[in-house]
Amino acid sequence: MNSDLIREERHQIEAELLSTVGRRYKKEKLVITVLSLIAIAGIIAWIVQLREGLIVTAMRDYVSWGIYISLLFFFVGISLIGALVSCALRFSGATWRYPLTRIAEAITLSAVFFAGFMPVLDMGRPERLYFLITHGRIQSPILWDIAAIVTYLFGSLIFFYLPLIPDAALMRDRLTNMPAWKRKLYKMMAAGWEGNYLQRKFLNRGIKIMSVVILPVAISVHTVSAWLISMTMRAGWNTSIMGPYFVFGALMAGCAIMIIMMSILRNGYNLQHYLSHTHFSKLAVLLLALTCTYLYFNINKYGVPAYKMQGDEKELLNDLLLGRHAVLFWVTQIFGLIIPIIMLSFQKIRNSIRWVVFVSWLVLICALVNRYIIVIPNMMHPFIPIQGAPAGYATYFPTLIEWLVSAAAMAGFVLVMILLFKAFPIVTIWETEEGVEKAGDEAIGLENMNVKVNVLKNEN
Amino acid sequence: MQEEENTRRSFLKAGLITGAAALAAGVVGCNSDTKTKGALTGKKVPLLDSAGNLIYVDEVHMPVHTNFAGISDEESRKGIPGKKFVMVIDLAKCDGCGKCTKACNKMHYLPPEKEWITVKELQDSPKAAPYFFVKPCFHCDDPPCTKVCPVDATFKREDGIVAIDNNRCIGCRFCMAACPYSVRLFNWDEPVKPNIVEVNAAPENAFQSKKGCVEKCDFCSHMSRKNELPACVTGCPMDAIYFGDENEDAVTNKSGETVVLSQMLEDKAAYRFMEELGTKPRVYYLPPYNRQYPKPEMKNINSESQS
Amino acid sequence: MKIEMRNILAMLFLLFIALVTNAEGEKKNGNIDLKISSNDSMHVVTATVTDAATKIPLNDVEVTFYIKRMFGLMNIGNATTDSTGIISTVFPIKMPGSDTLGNIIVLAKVEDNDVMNDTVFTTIAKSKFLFPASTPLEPAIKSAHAPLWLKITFWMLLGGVWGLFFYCLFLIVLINRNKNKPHAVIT
Repeated sequence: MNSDLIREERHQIEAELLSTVGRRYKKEKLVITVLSLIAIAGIIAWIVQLREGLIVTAMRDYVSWGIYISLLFFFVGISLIGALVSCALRFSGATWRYPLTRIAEAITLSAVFFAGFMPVLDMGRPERLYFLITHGRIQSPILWDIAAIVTYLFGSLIFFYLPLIPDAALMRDRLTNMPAWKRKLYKMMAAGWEGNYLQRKFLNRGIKIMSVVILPVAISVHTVSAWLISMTMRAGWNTSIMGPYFVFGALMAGCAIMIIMMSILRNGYNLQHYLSHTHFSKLAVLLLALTCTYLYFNINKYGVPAYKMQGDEKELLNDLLLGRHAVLFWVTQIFGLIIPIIMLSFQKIRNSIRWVVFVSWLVLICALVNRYIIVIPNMMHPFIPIQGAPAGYATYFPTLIEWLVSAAAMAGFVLVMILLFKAFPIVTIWETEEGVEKAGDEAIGLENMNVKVNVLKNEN
Repeated sequence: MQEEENTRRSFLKAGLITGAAALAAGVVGCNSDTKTKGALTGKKVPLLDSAGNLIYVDEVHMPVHTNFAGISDEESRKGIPGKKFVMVIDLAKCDGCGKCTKACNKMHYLPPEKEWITVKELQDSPKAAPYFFVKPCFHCDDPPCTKVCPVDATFKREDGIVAIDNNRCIGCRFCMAACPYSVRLFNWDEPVKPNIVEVNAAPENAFQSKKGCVEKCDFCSHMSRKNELPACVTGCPMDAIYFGDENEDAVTNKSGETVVLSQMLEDKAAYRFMEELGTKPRVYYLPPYNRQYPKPEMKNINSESQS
Repeated sequence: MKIEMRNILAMLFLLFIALVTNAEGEKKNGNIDLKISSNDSMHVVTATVTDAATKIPLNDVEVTFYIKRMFGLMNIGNATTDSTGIISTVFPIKMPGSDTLGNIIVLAKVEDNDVMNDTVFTTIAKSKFLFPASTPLEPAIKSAHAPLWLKITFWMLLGGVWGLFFYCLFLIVLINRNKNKPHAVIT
């Protein structure tokens, strides 16, 4: 009896999820045009920067790292969501993760790509990038960061591809009215998949290995990025909490962007059955937990030195808590942490997709500002006080070029995701089917399907 | 001018009083090497004059200096054999005139806004007297900057100097973030090139500015190759800066006063700046005790706000 | 204008001194014989000042002793001869040499003396202490070469992770190889 239901539901799942491939979502042209224009403006700005040198940025000898490095930390941060959904949730046995894994991996893939790109934008001599290979010193955290980012990018590619194989086979078999090159691509990507026992065995093994390996790699990427600044002696950076502080800040921002992406895809592609209230409220709980953790980390990072007010830290903390950067600092703390925590504490808000998405935007934007707060104010407080610096050397406000290049990186990040979702199903079809078979609709968060599959607990 | 020059030479040839001759040499000052090599081309090129100001001169008026010691890349990374350079700065003598900076900028063809050696006015606590603090690169023995360099563009040499190879630097500016003393400078745009011919390896050139690369004080290693003192030492009218070789246990200042390093450090209670950072600087300071100049005005301790 | 004025003044000053020194009259050419000996704690420099022509010891000659260092001459003492023409000074036995051979160049200088023309004589003392060997920087975090433990850790971690990645790629190859096989078990 149940197997009939499952077969019926399979049909619905496959039909609905395959229909998103190549489908236009609402206002697609407008969004792509705007994003492409931003990307082109950014590329032009980058060319200007390459020609003129970094003089076109607002960075100078004191504030020698600006929003490019802040964005590096941001991109590395949101890339952690893939590892969170595909590994942490996997090992905690959260069955509702099934429909979310591909979205998370896509965010990761796109974010890591741009994370690797940001340092190149920041380099004074990008044409010497290959020196990192020919003259690389593995004693430098930059080498660790490059190694970790490249590893994570490659790993994420594999991890994006592995669960795609059965779906690609499905596309190969079903989407026969596609253009020839697309069919060829799907055929190639399907790697001869026909779902036999051995193939399943190998695929499961691969996914299992990757989901174990990707977690330490993901954490190392972010920890090593944190080390870029905490391996220095500067006030505010010289703290051992930096690694975990970055990791949890990243998980929080990643969770927020996951919720936002889900809401966009849910509405844009009519995926209400698959990205359901259950997923949003479950992720809202996760976001609540992560914002609480991050607040706790912030109290440790800023509160502990603020109690002591030790010489070098004092100037920086005065600046952050009461001085030039106080507005930004308190905005990130109040609107990015305290208000989200209070709001998410109410079940009513957690159950409302609209509110959860609103809170996620708050968290995400404040997480972005927080990256700025981590990098820039610290550079304005060196051990030897700034005296007689040339005009513009002791302050920092990004120039148009920097804004354009940064905006283009953001736009590129979204464009890459659009591209990925245009070519592949947004929700992993076979995993969803498997989840339905094993645990039933409710457990994996499917809502209002034509039939309802219930799996009794003891059957599982 | 020419006549005076000849007079001076004849006096020197006479083998008279060396001390007086040195005095005279200081007073007579430098002569411009500018020579007219032909008709004006009409093409103006930017140039830094001796005061460090940017001027435009006709191409044919460009002075040509050559600085060639045939130092190979490998030698420039190894350093001067058998040496361990060290600097001692006597804060009791520094009156903050900034001539060290001027001399350095001239030596390295730097515009005025770049300072490899810089004079800060510090005051350690509200009731303590302020003093002038001369800050070159400290050429630390445990340099935080060389630790983080991803491509070995900045490195510690055997002679103690922390040098930069601007043919290697990728411009990531990690070293600038790592240096606790804000010593390192970045070439944000194309530097004005002096018309000089230098064919040594990059770390031993007088002119080290390159767009997109980091630069800093190099202890004038190209001068040490010639057994000559760095520009800041010879530029200090107060004899406040001493430079020498730790292996020889001796340091020398502008007027040629050569003292035993270890004894001076002991006698005058020398210290290194921010010893607690553990970077082991190669620059020692003698405390501003018994000042030989009018002390700077007392200021509010919060020097941060005056930037 | 101002500078030229200063130059002229300096020239006049030189001229004046030259005239004064020339007016001092006849001075002898001297010879300084330098000998180095040492005890447990000190090197002893003994100088015998004689008239170069007559070999008679010169009286009342002030001799300053220096040690040559990289950037200048280090004063280690001065003394004025009596009728024997012999003077001496000491410097610490721990005074390092100027090179790997432990050579210490000692100078005896006569300047502005009424009896004798200016002159410089040098000799070489041998340091008994080893010159600090110039050793290349050992592999360390700060030096050009990575320490072994870091190399092992770095490459092992990287190799391990990439090894697993390639194994996963190999699994994909295996999936491809196992196509067109009967559905052995459908799970």
